[in-house]
Amino acid sequence: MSLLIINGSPKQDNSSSHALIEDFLECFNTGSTEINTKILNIFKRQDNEIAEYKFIKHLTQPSPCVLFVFPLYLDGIPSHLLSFMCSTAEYISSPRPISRALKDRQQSKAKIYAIVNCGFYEGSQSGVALRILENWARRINCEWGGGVGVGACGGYSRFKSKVGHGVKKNIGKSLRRLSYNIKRGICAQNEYTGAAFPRIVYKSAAEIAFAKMASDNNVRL
Amino acid sequence: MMLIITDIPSANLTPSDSEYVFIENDREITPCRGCFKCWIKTPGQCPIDDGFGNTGKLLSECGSLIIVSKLTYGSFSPFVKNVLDRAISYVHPYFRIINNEMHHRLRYGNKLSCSAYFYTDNNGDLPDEAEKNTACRLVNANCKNFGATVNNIIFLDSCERLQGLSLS
Repeated sequence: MSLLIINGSPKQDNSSSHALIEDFLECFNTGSTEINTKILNIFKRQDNEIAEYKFIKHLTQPSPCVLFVFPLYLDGIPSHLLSFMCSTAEYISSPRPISRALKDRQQSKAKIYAIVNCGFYEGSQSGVALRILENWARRINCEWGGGVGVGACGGYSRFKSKVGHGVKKNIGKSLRRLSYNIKRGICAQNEYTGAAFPRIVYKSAAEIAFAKMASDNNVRL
Repeated sequence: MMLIITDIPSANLTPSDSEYVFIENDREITPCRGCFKCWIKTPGQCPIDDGFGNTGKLLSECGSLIIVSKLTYGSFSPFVKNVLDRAISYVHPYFRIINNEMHHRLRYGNKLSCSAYFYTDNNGDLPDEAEKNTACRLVNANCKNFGATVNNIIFLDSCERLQGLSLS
């Protein structure tokens, strides 16, 4: 099998989504099996045609898996990622030979998984975004493998703990489960997790961070 | 005032209110880059200079939001979603708790009601119940975040069905 990871954050390598990908890979790359893994960034419009082509090409591999990692935007998928999904679906429904082969594929369909980075405390607020991705997967004749909604992800890249420890204890459990499922091609229910600290602590820390950023711009919130 | 965000030309639509503003897909729109400047540098205004930066402010001046969108896997279309992503300045970066869930505080004092009209394309891919169900959840979740009430969620089997329909 081969795994393509799609980073749907506009901030790309400097983002909570990127930090989640790194933690996921730490869970995924344990064990002896070597799995071919590639990461694609989706944001810049000029790069998207290449990304779409790479995505379609990946789907033609034997037992392909795709993991989407993206920030929650207003309860749904960020518009640039939604555009990517529409373009790829359009490509697959076109009469090209590669598209027909993907559309008619009955066995070893590609599996789509997701991790959503949610700025609110409750990871469950990612539920609608995961459903949208699941609906799209069905439309392009792929299987929905399941997703993880991670709450309290604002500032995730600044969390000092190693995945599976400290504030990332629960997140580590979910990412390990996701890694296990992807490696074995298991389709599971969506699950929701978050950083291991009380909501009041997250809320206060986030508000202090926003107030500081505003103050640096001479703005009072 | 009624704010209508639409991915089909406004000439095909009939608002029920006499005072209205259309935001339509008539020029290039840039995606939200998650910079938070609409919260922490120019509160209420998105800094991207493409003519779609004031949706948050427009929302504060209206009592009714109408969304006209192609049903896209249970979501709004990319254009409509882009406009809404860029309207996040309608809320304040600080938080409040509603029904034991964290949401953003409201920046403005207006009362907003929202209706969504989802249409299907004529390419034969009819929406399934899962997509309609997801769309209802999305509209309800958005309204919760914007402190708005849900007025109508309507599904139409083609965009032609919108012609002559009084949007309310």
